[in-house]
Amino acid sequence: MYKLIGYYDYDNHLNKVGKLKVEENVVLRLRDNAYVYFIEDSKDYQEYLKWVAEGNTPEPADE
Amino acid sequence: MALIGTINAPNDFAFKNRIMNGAFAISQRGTSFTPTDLAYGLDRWHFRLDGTPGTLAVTQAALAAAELPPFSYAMRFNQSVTASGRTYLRVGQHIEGLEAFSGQQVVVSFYAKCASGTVAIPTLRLDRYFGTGGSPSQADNMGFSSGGSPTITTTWTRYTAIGNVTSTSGKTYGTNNNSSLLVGIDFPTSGTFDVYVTGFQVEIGSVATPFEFRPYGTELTLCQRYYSKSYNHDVVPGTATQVGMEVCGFQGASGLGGAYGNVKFPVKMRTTPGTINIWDGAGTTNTHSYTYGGAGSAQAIANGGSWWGSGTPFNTSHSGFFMRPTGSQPSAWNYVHYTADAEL
Repeated sequence: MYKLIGYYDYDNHLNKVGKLKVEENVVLRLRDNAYVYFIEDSKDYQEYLKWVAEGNTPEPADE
Repeated sequence: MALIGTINAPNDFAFKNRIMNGAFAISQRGTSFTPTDLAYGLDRWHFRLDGTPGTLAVTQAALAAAELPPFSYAMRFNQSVTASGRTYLRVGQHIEGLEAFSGQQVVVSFYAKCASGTVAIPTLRLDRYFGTGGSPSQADNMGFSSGGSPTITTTWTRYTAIGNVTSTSGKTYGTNNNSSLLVGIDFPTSGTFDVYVTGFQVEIGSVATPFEFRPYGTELTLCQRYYSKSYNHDVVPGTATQVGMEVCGFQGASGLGGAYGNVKFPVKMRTTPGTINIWDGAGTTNTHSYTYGGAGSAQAIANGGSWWGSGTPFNTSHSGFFMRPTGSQPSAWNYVHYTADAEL
């Protein structure tokens, strides 16, 4: 199981700016809370791609 | 002539053993594992398995001084409740760089014993991996010409197997420099067994020479190319401790963002890590610790710090990564524990 990672932009005084964004090159692996980076030769990314190819989708990012 | 004979003699040199952590002394991830498919246990050794697991424990077993000198550790592989629906159960190591073995004869040697009875090993593994995008895309098992299916007994015995890695001429390596030769052991897929293995060595040639003991620091450094952590060597990642934490930013003023910090790995890794884990000093994932208190104030340490943005390590590289904590206190130093994984 995986989860998308969301974030907001902040101004310099830590006020949220704009809407929730989602990290495009990394996802959270829920079994061990590891950040899995979208790197072609990474065994963990290949495992993620296989999981997605099996019809799975990551959980949405937290607001 | 004598000189030529000496320098041509196989394996009379340092680093003759292509296996890392063959004596199982390095255990950065911990010393006890419940294997899952594709997961790593003792440094550089990973598992492959399918089916319903039963009860399987893999541990770093300490050996008594007189048991098998000079070895201090073994990998214990204990299937105490049989699995079901299993077609393979493997522990192996990807040796980086298949090209170094192309067309070579290799000799695999290791010491093993079992707790009771005998354990027939279905096969040892000698698999070519051509890397991401390589061809063939699936690993092919070269097999062994001798010794490929040993039977383990209750007496420590050194087992030897000889195999040939077929030339890779006409094949295609992937473009990501991640080809490898996988060497390992396929254990029985059913039943129970309790096997100890140590002194695992892979050499080019046909004669098994004495196991090569490398200094602990050298062996650890070799392993850190593939996996590293901030914790002390004997501390399991995720443990609640502040010992060994890395600075990941300084917060000057209160309530402002901008506390960038760069965490450096102890050695350059094989490639940019595919996974990074983060903890604070309390063992909570994906947060950080911080000390705070201005000049003249007592320094306090807190956990559970927040991040600017998603908190994801960024600008990751072979050398390290950046983080950007938000300091909720002025004059705060921010810290994290981490593990980074660049295994094959």
